[in-house]
Amino acid sequence: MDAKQYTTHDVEDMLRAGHFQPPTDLRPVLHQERQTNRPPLSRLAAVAGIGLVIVALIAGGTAIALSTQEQAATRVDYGVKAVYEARLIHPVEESQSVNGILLGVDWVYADWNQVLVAYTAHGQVEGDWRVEADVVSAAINGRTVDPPIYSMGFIETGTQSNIATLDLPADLRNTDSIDVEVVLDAAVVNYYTPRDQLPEGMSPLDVLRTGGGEATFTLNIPVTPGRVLEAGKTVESNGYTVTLDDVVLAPSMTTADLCFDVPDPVTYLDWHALTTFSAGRITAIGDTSTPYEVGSTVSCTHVKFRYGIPLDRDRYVLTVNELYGSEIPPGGPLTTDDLPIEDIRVRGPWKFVLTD
Amino acid sequence: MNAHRKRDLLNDWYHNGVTALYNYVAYRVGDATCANEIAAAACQRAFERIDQYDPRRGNLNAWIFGIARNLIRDHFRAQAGQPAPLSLEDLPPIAGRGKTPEEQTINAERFRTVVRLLDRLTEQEREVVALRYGSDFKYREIAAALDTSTDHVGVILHRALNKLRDALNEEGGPDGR
Repeated sequence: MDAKQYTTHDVEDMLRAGHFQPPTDLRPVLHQERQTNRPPLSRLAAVAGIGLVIVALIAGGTAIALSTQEQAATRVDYGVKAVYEARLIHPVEESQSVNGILLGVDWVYADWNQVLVAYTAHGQVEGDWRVEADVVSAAINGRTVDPPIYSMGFIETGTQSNIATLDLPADLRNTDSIDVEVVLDAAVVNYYTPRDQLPEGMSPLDVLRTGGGEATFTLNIPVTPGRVLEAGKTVESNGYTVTLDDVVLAPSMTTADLCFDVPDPVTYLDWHALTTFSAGRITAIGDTSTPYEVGSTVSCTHVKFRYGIPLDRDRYVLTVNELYGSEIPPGGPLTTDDLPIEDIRVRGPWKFVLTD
Repeated sequence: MNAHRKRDLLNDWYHNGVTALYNYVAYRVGDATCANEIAAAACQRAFERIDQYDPRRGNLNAWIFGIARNLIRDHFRAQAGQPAPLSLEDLPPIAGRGKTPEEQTINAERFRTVVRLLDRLTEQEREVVALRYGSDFKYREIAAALDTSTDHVGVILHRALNKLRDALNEEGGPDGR
């Protein structure tokens, strides 16, 4: 008699019959890893390019030593890598000491799309204590701008290095230089305090913070020019119209502003565009776009391409492959269950060919 | 959303969501040491960078799974793109579902029997199976995570289950079929 054969339903039942058991608390795993002098991220980071960003300044000159780790770090963002390798960045030697933490700005860069500020915080700490610093506020030419939501870097026990990014306001593009003020907030933190050593009332995952404080840096940064491409074009596909309002090419990033018909203005609060930008054989994929105008029938969104697209080409192609709307509760999600994001998707493509 | 609110959210997530994350990672890498390290690294990175989490770009769970996915990709890159063959000895500890110890033991064995075959799947198929059965993602959540359609997710999942079924029928399972 033939043996009974498994069905796909059996397979599903078997997959649902059990699960893998995580360690009771993943944090001791981290703790143990560090005690063996093998930072858990080190091997991964070396491959990922999220490496240590410590900019070694060569005293008295503008030359910058690019270590393997630094080059790896710039792989996180191909636009940053491009300006880094093209030596368009400007070394800075400014540092301030705040309650035992040395905060320093290592280099800066600005172009028509963004401002980069590379900084390092360093302190003498032991065990699980680490030094951290974040940009808590920033101003360009006296005008407050949003603190960076995108930054990269790496933390090791006593040093944190980061490259913070700020959007350059459009009306400052044609200036030779800008004055940037950044406020860094540094602290010594401990993510991994053993449960039995936590102050009463603290959650095991609360972060202990001590020391540090704020330091303000005022930086004059030359603006590297970019290029504005002819835009204002409209393309229709699949019954929807997309208008390309603006394309700005700059050495560290290209940006595009798009406006389009809103397929469902009632239900969907945020509309985004999945977009690529090509120059010859180079194709850059856009970040998740940021809606900047939400109307009842038309929505506009800002797309960033974090690549060093060459500025000197005579033909570029921007393709909107898809529009999608996401329903997000006002004020953001309250719990992780709050956000079964119901996307509505409209396939394109909407293709814009931009020539001189 | 301020930094404290984000950290509260992350604390809540850790207590409720870390098992799903761990299972996703374990399904993908199949090795206890790597799963521990990658899941821990993903949590560490999430806690270190929670200030950078932007709710407008997606929910917290998706953000953390995105971190884990990148770490897994890096892990495979370090292995020259080839996931190592699964070894029963290296699998993370397994728990069977059920009301009685006997039922749990049987179910743990059934689970072990099928997950040891995950290396028969392509990386894409294993990703979808990991999200679906390891982390209990819905089709549309998988589609959003992989930037594809729910129909495509269904096709990939169907193909993956067929492969696992065929592998089970070739090798025989715990039921002695």
